[in-house]
Amino acid sequence: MDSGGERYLEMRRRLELYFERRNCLAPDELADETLNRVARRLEEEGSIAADCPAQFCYVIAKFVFQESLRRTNTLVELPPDAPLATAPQVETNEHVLACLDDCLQSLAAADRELIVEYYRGEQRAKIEQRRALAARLGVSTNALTIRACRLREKLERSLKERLSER
Amino acid sequence: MSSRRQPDDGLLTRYLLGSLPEEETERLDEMSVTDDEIAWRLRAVENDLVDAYVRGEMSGGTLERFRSTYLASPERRKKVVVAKALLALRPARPVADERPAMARVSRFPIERWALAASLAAIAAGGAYLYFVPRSAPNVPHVVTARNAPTPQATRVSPALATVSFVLSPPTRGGTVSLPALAVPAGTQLVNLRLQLESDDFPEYEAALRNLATNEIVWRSAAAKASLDGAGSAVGFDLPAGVLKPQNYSIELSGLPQNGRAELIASYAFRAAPP
Repeated sequence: MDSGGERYLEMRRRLELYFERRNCLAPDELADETLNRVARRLEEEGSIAADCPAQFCYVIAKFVFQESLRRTNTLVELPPDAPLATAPQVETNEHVLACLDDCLQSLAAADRELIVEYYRGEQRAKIEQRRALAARLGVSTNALTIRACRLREKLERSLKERLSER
Repeated sequence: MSSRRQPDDGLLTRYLLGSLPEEETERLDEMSVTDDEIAWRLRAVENDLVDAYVRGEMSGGTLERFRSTYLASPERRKKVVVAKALLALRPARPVADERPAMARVSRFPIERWALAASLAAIAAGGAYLYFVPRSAPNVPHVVTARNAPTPQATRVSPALATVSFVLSPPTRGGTVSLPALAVPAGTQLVNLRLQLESDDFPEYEAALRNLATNEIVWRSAAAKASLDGAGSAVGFDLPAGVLKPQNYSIELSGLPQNGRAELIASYAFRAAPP
């Protein structure tokens, strides 16, 4: 069972992704703003009138999003034929690989093996490999997916931190 | 909210690419926050989507949408960086490939240490490791055992404790882990033999880059390549004191007869604590 802290972090992550998918410029700040408002409402009213706390968070997030739109805090969609200025930025150089290696080293050996194995292979072969991996670990493919996603997010966070250290 | 029908992966992909009608987008927005299963499936589909882009498996309208919508966000571009790095991972070189070499190493007095360290290095991603205690009498040079005399060997004082590493040519795929080179305490010289894809230059030079600071911390003199059991390789001796426990890259340049040095390969590795 997740602890309260883990549930909070998970909700923050979901809100962050929601704002990110809505092309907001600072999804993490908007996620924090949403949770601050939820907390204030709880403080003021003692309880929240919604089916579940997540539902309430979403309603508040929508307001926060609408407000952010008014501040034009969103990204402009690129035309499909726009030259990709992003290409050089996504170059995987040895420095990135070295940082990734450090991040991988910080994972437990079993997790390291899992994430490498989970994301290996192409299309159909990948699906089969994941089924086989789940069977080998004695978990459902759904549980394996969640575990791999969690590990990847951990790796992404850790890699971002290391790359921003430079 | 409209229906509670569980969306399939195709619909989730279209949602992530911003190509659903607003009503459907809002339905999935809400589910992405309130529905545990959808929250995780979306992340999984997104990871696979980014991987497909990085692998070049995307085409047509999906690719156009991905470029115009998904890559518009700096946060999402970082996911692409991670995906590229993950794609670069490849399985470690099978240990079985190198068993004969290991058997030769195990003849040395330090056999237990050398064998364990060699296996660790190979498991870590493709470096071969030999401990060459050149100051010890009657101990065959391991590279000689592989029929590859090194010009560097003659330049090294026999009194110096030297460790020799062989680094495989870098591959496009990268490695699961950087090769970990553990230099034993008391070592004075580290002999690095860099295997070459092909020997195209009369001489080569190497520069050691500290990947943490991006600075060149050591440069070699020019050296010629020679043949060893696995093909051509060029060797350099660097003072062991240069290496700290961190990541480095050896940048190998070819020196043509006339003209400027040409960078031909980088060999990344991790100097591990003894």
